[in-house]
Amino acid sequence: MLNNLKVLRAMRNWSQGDLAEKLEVSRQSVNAIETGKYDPSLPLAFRIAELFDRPIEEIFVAPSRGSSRAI
Amino acid sequence: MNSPLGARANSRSWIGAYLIACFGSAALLKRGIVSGWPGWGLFAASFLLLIPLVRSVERAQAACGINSVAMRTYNRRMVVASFAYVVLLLGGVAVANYFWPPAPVRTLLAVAAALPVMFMIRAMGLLIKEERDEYLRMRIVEQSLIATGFLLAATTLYGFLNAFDLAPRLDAYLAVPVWAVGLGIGRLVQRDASC
Repeated sequence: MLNNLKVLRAMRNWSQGDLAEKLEVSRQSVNAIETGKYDPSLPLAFRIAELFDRPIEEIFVAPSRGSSRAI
Repeated sequence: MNSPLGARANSRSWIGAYLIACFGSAALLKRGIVSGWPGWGLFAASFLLLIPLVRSVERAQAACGINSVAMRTYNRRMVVASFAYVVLLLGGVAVANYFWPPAPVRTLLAVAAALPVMFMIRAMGLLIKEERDEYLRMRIVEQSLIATGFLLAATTLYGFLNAFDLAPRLDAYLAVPVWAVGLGIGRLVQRDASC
């Protein structure tokens, strides 16, 4: 699933390690989500959305909406 | 070696050294090339390599950002179970060889040697239960499924080779190391380019 996590993270000048620490997950998990290799569970997606203070649909792009929505 | 690649290469070297030492000493013992207590001593000594192996694996995991509490607990449980296995197996073999006790006592010795291996299987189950990171948990479950598939395929194939008199009978307890090889294959299949 496409997402804007990398851009949002870069806007805050956070490393993958910083984001992983804030989400209480491994750095590898952040990397896997950012690169679209892993789709997070709903609870983790909500935690990410809360951390960036944005609705989930602004961070994750629904597969049905295609790739054009990703920042 | 702090880079993920360097740490991973280091851990692979230790894994290779451990596998060669463990399976090599077991083969020497089984074939009678190094028999008796020197052979068993060599087999037991090979397990000492688990200490630097686990340390190097934890360094590699930390460098890749996957050194979770559950993983460290799992590593500790596996090391404890491995040393318990060596002690109980060697003790059991010694008692059985020198005293040849009655069947109930030999049954207890066999169960005692199997218990640490069962503890290792339990440790794997607990790792899946205790791992709080959902991505890491998913990877572990995938590895376990690949390992189980590998074990089933390998034992089915070997069973038929044996049935057609093309391969000798093997001890059933070899299923666990074969499953562990499957875990390694699972990790290779999952190979993470970011690490």
